[in-house]
Amino acid sequence: VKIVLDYDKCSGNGICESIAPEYYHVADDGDLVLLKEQVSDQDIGAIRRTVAECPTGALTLAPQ
Amino acid sequence: MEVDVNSHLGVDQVVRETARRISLDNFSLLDPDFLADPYPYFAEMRRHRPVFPTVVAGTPILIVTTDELCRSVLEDPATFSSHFSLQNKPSPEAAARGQALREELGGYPRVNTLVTEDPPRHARFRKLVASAFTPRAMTKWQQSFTELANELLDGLDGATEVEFRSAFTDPLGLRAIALVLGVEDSRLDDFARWARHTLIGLGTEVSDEEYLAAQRSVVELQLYFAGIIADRRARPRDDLVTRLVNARLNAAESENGDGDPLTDPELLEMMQTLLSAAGHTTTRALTEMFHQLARHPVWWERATTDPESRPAIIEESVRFAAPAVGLWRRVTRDTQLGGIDIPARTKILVSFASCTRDEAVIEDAESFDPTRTELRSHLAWGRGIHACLGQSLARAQMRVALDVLTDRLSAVAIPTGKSATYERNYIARGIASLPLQITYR
Repeated sequence: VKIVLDYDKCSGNGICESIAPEYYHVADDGDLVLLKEQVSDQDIGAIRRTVAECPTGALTLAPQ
Repeated sequence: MEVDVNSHLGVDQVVRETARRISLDNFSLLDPDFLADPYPYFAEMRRHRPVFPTVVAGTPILIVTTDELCRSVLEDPATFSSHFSLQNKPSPEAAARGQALREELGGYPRVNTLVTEDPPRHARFRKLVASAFTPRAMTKWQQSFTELANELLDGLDGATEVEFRSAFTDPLGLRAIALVLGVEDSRLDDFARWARHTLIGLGTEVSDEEYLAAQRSVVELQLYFAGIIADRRARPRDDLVTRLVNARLNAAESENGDGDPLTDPELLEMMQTLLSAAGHTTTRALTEMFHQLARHPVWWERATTDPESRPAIIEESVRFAAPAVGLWRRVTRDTQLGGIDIPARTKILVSFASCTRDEAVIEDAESFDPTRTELRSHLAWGRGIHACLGQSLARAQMRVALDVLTDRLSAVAIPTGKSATYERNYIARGIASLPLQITYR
């Protein structure tokens, strides 16, 4: 699966980065940067948490 | 202004039995019984009237009490505007004198920034401060917070019975936000007074004297912060205020290509917001955490022996404390909530104290239980575009406090015959005093 980020919804809170810093990074201008889109099998649990815990619902998962 | 509520907090069963006797007839947010222990009242509202009408400060409002309904309000800022806050006011004469006083002392105008601004303007503020509050940006504070916590513990001088809020959590919360905002140690006493006064009239009645003292404090705070801003503009440092001063949107988002930097009144408002949103709330969460650990030795043990249990204890403490007890919204267009028609201009109190105890989504919600699954699904940090920006800062502070205390203390307990007391406030309610018996290693 891959991560889909809705830039209009994202407020740069960085909860995702606290859970999976190898995937997400809030840049100095406040924009979230997706470091990786493709989710590896071993990370899927953490990535699902980032989707569930995003306070603005900006993250979703999609089949590749 | 304190009240003993230990009888309700001690045993979950007591809470449930109390709930059966609660009557919502003639309900008032200022009712001493409600302020002493609001939870049974909220339980009753969730059960019978989840969108609950009442009047406060002369204004009709609706209290929204369930997880589902609070969520739908928070996720729809177009219908539920943040451009509103209801504060209890002094007499009209005092209000006029306060206004004149602020002008005379050279106060800056108040502007809407994070908490009380709506899209699309809210996004600009949110983006300009985002980078200063990421989990990564917080790691640099860990060391300073640890030193602070150790220093405060040293300051107890081996005392075995302390009032823990004034001895530890208040100064920790205050000095942590002072560090973040660049406040000098020599101004900490003033800063403490300013911090107290920033929330005057919020969730409680206010006397004319208090109100006027608070107006003076707000201007003093503004002038002091203006000095910090001017200093960082001239002599940039690696700190939050320098980041705020230099924050720019990227070219695509910036209207006239200059990155829309924050103006001075906006910078001041932002710093005041950070002070009031971060200082008091974190202190409340911290104090409640140690209250719960003192009441549940099994969790103190777990925290001590297993550092990996600490994030769950912190998270559950935040849910249990719901440090932002309620926040205001104003309805922009006719809508419906929980099957009820709600006209435009209705004022709404989103009750975080209530929705974080909603038995429909949180099993055994009145119990402190860090083992619960879906630990972070609660709404205590808010939801949507206004979700707490400082949550990484708060978690960092709570983690440091827990690390340092479990490292240096072998036990915390409520002394026999004593109990925690709570503030009587429907917006900013937390523990007023926490007597603790502490045992050093």
